[in-house]
Amino acid sequence: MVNYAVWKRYPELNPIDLWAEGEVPEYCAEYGQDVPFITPFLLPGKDNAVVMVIPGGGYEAKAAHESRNIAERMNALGFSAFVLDYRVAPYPFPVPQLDAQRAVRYVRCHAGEFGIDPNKIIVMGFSAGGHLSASISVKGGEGTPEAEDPVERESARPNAMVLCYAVLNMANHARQFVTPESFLPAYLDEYYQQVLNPTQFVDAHTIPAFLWQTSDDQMVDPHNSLEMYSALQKHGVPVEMHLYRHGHHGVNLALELESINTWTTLCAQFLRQLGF
Amino acid sequence: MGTPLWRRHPEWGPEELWEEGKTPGYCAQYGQDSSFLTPFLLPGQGNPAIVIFPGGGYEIKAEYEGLDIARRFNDLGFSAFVVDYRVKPYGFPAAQLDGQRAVRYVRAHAARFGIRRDQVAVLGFSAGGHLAACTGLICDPGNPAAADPVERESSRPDAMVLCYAVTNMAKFFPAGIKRDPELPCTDETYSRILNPISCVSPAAPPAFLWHTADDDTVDVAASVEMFQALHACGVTAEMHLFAHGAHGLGLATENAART
Repeated sequence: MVNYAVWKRYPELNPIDLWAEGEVPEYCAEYGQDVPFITPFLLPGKDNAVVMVIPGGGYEAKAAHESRNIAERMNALGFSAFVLDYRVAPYPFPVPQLDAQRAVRYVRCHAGEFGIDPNKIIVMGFSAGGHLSASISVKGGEGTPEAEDPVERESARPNAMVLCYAVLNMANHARQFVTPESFLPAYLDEYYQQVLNPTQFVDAHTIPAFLWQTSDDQMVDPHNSLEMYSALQKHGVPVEMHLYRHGHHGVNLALELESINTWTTLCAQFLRQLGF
Repeated sequence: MGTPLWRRHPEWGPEELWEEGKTPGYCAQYGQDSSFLTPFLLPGQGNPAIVIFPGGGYEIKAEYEGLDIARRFNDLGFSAFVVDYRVKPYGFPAAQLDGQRAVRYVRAHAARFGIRRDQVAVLGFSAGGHLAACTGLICDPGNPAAADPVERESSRPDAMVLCYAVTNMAKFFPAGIKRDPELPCTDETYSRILNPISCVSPAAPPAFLWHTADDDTVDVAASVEMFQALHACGVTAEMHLFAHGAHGLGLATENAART
């Protein structure tokens, strides 16, 4: 059990299920979790850039303090947003990745309806949500052009990633969060390695990234972000990183924390400068 | 080179770091001014102080990384001192002696300058950042028995601000500097000057670093590696690595976020 409020389904916010009923891959009713869905926070108009907010929670829950508040702040900065509800433990990797990839595909497929630009999809993840964001962003995720389901024809690759106090090397944390199980032989070994340590799979085609955290974060060492930063920068990928002096893990918007509360503005500037 | 160079402005009240004739290793033939600092003081007492080392590859000192910075920090509530330190053809450790002397001098005259002795930070750009790092990381507590009261002061700043700084000469600025023939300096000290990162310890002052990812004069790894060394020793550090910007942004006023 977690000691913070968790994000969940709010019918009044018109959540959208990512798969049709009964079609959620690897679904296990015994785990007692909701089906994966996204909650829209859309701006009016067309061709808006959109941020897919991926709350953290150690792959055990989804933190409410990294959900709607983030979406509404990004709205204020001129971005449409969704909050992703993804499956967590005891679902093993790469089930959360399937949910995140489906979310990107779904939003891209329905871009017109949502008034967004399908080439301006940004994932923004916090803590474990940052790991989830990176694991689907460094490479791969191509669509299947002949798929019956039009959503599956789309690429699952976002166009930019924002990693907020993110765990990035899950190889050290895997036992803590999610135990790999052998009942998923369908998934390629290399993809599983990418999920465990996305930094190793960064190449020149990796999408632009904005990373931030606090230097004295006791739960996630800045080493995570520093390694990812160095890999991106060496490959010439546009990247920006801010390591603020002091703050506990999970500061999210940091509204009352002088200096850390600059991150959303800096992030928006970074994205705008890249054409989002 | 179109950049205005930092120089002595008598109207701003520059002060010599050493008494006449006492600058260690001074060589008149080099045609450089004697080392001095120019104060930009806020009124009153108890102000924090920033000691600024403009950049210029240890060949020149750029005015915009001195004057403009001093004025900006005045606006932010800091008294400021721009240091004219010795550059080529002086070798190391001439600049480092000037850097240490500047911190001691500001402390020794704290009451007259209206500043707090325990709030003296150093700030440097590029090669000036290397000098700030040297001043921050290669320091001593002063000599209580010195005849010169300035030499009784500690040379350790209370914080260091490194702006697109060279933190390891061999790796990030190999054109570097040679040893000065007039100034004795052990091999160990010389290698520490060449690689300030190697001097990081838990006693290092808190640090604020910033750099741009696509800096093609000083690789951003210079800041990353310094941060990693500080963090590994438990030293308070903050670092901002902006995506885009040429080397030598100074105040970067075209981009409000960076300012």
